[in-house]
Amino acid sequence: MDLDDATLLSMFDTMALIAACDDALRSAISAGDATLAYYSPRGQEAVAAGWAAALEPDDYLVTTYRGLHDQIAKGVPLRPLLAEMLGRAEGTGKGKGGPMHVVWPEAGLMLTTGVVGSGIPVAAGLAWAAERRAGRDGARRVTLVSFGDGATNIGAFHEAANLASLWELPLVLLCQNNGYGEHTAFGRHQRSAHVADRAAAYAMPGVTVDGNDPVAVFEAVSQAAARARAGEGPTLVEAVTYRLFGHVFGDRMTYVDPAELEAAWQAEPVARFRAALVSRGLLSEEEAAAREAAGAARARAALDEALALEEPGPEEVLTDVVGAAVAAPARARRPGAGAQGETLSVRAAITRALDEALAADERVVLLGEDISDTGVFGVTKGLAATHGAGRVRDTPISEQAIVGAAVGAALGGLRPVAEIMFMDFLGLCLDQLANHAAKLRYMSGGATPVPMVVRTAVGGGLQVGAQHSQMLESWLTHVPGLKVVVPSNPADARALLATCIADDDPCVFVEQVPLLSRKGVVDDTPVALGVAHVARPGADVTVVSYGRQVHDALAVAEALAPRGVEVEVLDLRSLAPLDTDALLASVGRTGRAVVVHEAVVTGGFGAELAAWLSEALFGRLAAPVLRVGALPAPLPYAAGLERLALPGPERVEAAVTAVLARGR
Amino acid sequence: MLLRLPKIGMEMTEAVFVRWLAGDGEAVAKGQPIYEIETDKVANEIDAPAAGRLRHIAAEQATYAVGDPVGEILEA
Repeated sequence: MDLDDATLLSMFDTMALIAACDDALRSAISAGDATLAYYSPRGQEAVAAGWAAALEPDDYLVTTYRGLHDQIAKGVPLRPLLAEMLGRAEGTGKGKGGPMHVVWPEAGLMLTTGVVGSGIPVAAGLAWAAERRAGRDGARRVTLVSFGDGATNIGAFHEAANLASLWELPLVLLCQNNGYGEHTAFGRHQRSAHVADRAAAYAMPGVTVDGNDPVAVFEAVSQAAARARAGEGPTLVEAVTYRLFGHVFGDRMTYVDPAELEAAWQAEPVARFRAALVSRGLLSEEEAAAREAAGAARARAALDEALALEEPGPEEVLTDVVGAAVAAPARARRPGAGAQGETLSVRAAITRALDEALAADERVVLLGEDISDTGVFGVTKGLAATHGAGRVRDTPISEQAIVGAAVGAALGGLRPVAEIMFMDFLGLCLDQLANHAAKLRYMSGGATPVPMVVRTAVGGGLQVGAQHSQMLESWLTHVPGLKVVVPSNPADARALLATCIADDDPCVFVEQVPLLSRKGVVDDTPVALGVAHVARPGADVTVVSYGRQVHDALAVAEALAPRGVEVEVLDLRSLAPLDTDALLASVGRTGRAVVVHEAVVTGGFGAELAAWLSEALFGRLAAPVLRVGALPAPLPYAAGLERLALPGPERVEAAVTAVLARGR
Repeated sequence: MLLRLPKIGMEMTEAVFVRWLAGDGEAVAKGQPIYEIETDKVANEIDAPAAGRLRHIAAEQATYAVGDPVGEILEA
């Protein structure tokens, strides 16, 4: 032990306080005073006390739902911590996150996740943000991510470990191997003798230490943190420990051999460390007991205080879903740009928006597959040369790591723009997008907003088959907290992407491939999210659309005009937020609506629009709202079949005609 | 200290109070299993949240909702 006496005693106090808080919570649950799903960290106190002593106060922590010990060790104050566990308004997330979602940025606790393994890509992103800042002020914050042995079997672990090693990120991957993934013993969920063995696959050091010895954990994490701080990359530290009260409160551990449990109690870390300190002469038994009693009194008092607090008021249910609206940014004029605008393709307009954002704001970074070259559709061509490969960063083919790292980079103060090559691949990273990016603001009561953009290409009609073609925007609009933008022309593409990057919430920006070469005049007009555009005015019927199908709608409007039919075309531009005022104004006036999108009709965003219009305008509608979209099949490959499956002007015109025929 | 029926697991709303594991008026230690309940999912033993003398309230084999008083721990 080369630790000074004060640090050793402080580690003991931390361990005693963790055990006391755990005891107070379990007693309150047993007595029926508290009704939370509680994942006790009892038995893992030494791990937390050890790593915490090895880090600086402003280092980042990402932990998991069995996180009380980590949270206390990182310095989260007990009152808001316990208040959150009890769902009280004074909690770390105003009682809206709960025990699995505690954050406290003041102490560097940026995320507690309830999804096994999902914190690791986010931690890689935090480490990336810290690495980028290190270039400016010389200091390099370390990020420590804590997870269990069960998490080492999920893709998020492997994708993030590979990325962190490849990018030499200042990250400590701390596996608290407590012997079980839920109710499944270590030897039944992997063949690796040690989790640390897996470090070899990612060319990083891997060490296994006695997790019930805080000094051993301290030493291993100190070395890992020093390596990270020196810019030498990540380390996998496996702390072997035991969870003494099973998976969740009420788990009687019937799947555990009683002899194993008895041995684990014999190795219980708090008593063991107390004995070590007493035998070193640092403490008498009486002093140790007094310190434990002080921890117990603090825990009990904090829990009693928290139990007496109020629940959040009803006004909280809809706050912190998204941030306050951000003004659409004025365009940062570049030297030589024309005043009246210029004719650009959608592709060039997107490139322009990225280029301008990178030039205007040092926090903006891009990440994705092949983006430093040209990207799959040439959208990011030239950006790495202009802004550097450190800001326009290629990634492995690891969608979960890409979006998770973007979430973490956003938490760490950057403005990441991630690229997911095809929208069909959202399934590979939907956990990061829907469970993390979308929910972290709300679950933290506003403490951890996630300002990031995911750009994704998609589009049928290219004969690339069903896995590279499918519009999935309704998956996204179903998730509160996500913003979803689908531009139809170059000017909107430039302006809306600039707005998305400036926005304080996660935005998904959909780039329809068949539109990329379409040209138009791009000027400096800013466009806010949630503002629809009347692409063509008309009195008889409204066609509500977005993206590529706006052009089908305009073609139909043009074709019907000579017959005296005035079709109004409303281009929504963003689906979330949705411009309900524009819908009300247009359809309220025409009394007839057709909703057109490329996605499959069943369960598509058109269903939401049709339902909303029916609810808002029932009695004023002359006809039912009709929907036009793809037929309910995976998009076929053969050219003729693909044309048949996708909506086109003919189907739009038929729907418009049908709506006009009703109620006359 | 009043003992209320605890919530165990995410979906529990009520349970059958199966039996007492310590007698009425008996001294109990903290952490000692004092009664057994059964839900649709599983049977479970509930530990004493504190040391003291146990007072029975719940009747064996009756059904109680989460939060219902089932017993009390009095000063020893």
